[in-house]
Amino acid sequence: MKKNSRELLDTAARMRVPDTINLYPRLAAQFERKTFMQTLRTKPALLLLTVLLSLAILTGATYAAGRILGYIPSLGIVEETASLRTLARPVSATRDGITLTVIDAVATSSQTVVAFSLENAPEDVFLHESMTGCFNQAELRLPDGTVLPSGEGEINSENDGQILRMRFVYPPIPVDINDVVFFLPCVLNSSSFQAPENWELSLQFISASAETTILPVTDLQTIPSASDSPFYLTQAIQVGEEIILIGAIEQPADNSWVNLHSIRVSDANGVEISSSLPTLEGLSGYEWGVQFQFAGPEYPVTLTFEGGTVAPVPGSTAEFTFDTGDSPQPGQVWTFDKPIEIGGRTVKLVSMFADQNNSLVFNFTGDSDVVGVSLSIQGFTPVGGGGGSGSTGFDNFSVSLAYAEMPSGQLRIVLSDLMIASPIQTWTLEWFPEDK
Amino acid sequence: MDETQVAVQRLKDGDIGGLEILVARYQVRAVRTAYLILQDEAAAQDVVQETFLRIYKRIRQFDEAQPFEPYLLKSVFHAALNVVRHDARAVLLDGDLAEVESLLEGSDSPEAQVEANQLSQQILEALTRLSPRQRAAIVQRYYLEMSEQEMSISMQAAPGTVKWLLHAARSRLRDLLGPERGTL
Repeated sequence: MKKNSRELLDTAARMRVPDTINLYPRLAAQFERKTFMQTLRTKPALLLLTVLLSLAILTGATYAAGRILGYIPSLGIVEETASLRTLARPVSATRDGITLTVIDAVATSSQTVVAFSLENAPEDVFLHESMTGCFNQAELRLPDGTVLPSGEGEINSENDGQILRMRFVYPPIPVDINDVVFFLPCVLNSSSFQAPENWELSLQFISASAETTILPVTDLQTIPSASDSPFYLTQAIQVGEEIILIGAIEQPADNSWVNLHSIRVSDANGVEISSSLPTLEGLSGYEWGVQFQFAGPEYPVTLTFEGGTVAPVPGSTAEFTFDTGDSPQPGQVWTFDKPIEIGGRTVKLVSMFADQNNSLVFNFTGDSDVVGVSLSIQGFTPVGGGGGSGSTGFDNFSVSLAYAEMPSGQLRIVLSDLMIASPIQTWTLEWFPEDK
Repeated sequence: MDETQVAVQRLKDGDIGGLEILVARYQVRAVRTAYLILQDEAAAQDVVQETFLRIYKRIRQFDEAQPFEPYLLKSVFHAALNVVRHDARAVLLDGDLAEVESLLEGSDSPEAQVEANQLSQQILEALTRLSPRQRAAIVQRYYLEMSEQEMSISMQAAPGTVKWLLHAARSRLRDLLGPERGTL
């Protein structure tokens, strides 16, 4: 019998996770441990001993994990080693008015990081939600023909997509090789490969010099601010007279997520100090950073996080029918003023738009805390989709669904999982530098 | 009420026996979900154990009209992703299910059945060489069978990023699995 993807992955996982596992004895032990913690609370001497032992263990772990890290602007945090090399100079090429520039790169013993940009590509070749274009990734080619494929990376767009800035991580380049070719097969998500393809730029790596900007990074012990706080401190970057604190957000273990709106910093007297949210390469959506004068404040400083939780309304569903006619055309717009009751709220379908890529885009309005809704068309399997709104909750949002062929005729449209933003919450976290 | 709903109700009533039933019923798939992301059996079991504990503490907020398994598996997924959050510096993936399913086309043949263990081993090794975020995307799309839109919401990533990440992970898997599985 043919296996589907899920079954194949399940079969593979079974090799390491057999059907016979039994977690319950361990879980039951957890409940017994809770009793031990209750004992600790009634026996301060035992609690003190336990805390001291914990500190000793944590201190040892911190030293064991010791490493020298540095932050290179535009490239991110790298491990500093004697063999660290950087790009000799930026390299650029322009074809059909589109400019590809390798802005910076760093080669360490563990990885290679390349930052590059694409500018002035026509609007229709850049990312859009119903993408069907080229996604082949840039690679590094060594003189002996070895190809280093890209690993993780980020893509950021500026000027409505006219500039794409990308940063990708590659395997390490052997220490005896300084000249490599940066090969970009296509402009990311270019429609029907209409943009120039097969870009090649020669990169030269040189030993990092004293002029190379490498900011010192310190690993911080991961410290939750409070038992119910999702915010952690992870690293600090020293930038001249200022310090950047970096941390992570532990997302809830369900379909909801914590959304960070702002960070304020105040000193030990509660006086707010000037701070900014720096643009840092390599930070994921689960991380945050804040920058302020290191020497000025009286410590400890307190970071105050403002944000909220976005969560689905359990069981929220609704549906409606709509007739597109026999042959909906690209560019066709249907306007509505259709209130839809879902999850105890009313959202309003304002319009629907058929785009060039067999996508239907639905535009809604709703209360200011409505972030979005899931959408499907019964009987039609989408090949892609998207949508968006401000995650703080806007009064309008959109949902798009892309199909191999445009759905037509009488459509049953199903809405589910209305996403609602909670009221603003605040969390705090204290930080005291070791040398203060 | 089915067995799961009864177990949830027992748990809401403070009967820990309800948790034992839920664990017995769903632990295997939950640990496999975590394992596919973490590639570490012990860490996967830890994550699932913690998730069950969280659910136990928050069970009163659970709407028993909703199916329990998707709720549990998505919770496990996010917990596993939190574990690898320091590696989460990237993008996700594109790719439709049919394309990945084509990897399994050969599994119909007797030869492929004989090779089943070898294929599983290949897949595990290939997953090990993906980044945690790429593995997470594969698990969401092809094991938890989430849509790209659901992934976009869940991962707080732009739809374009999700699609691109899926593409990256799929391409990497295809490379790692070799030309004989090149239809991935």
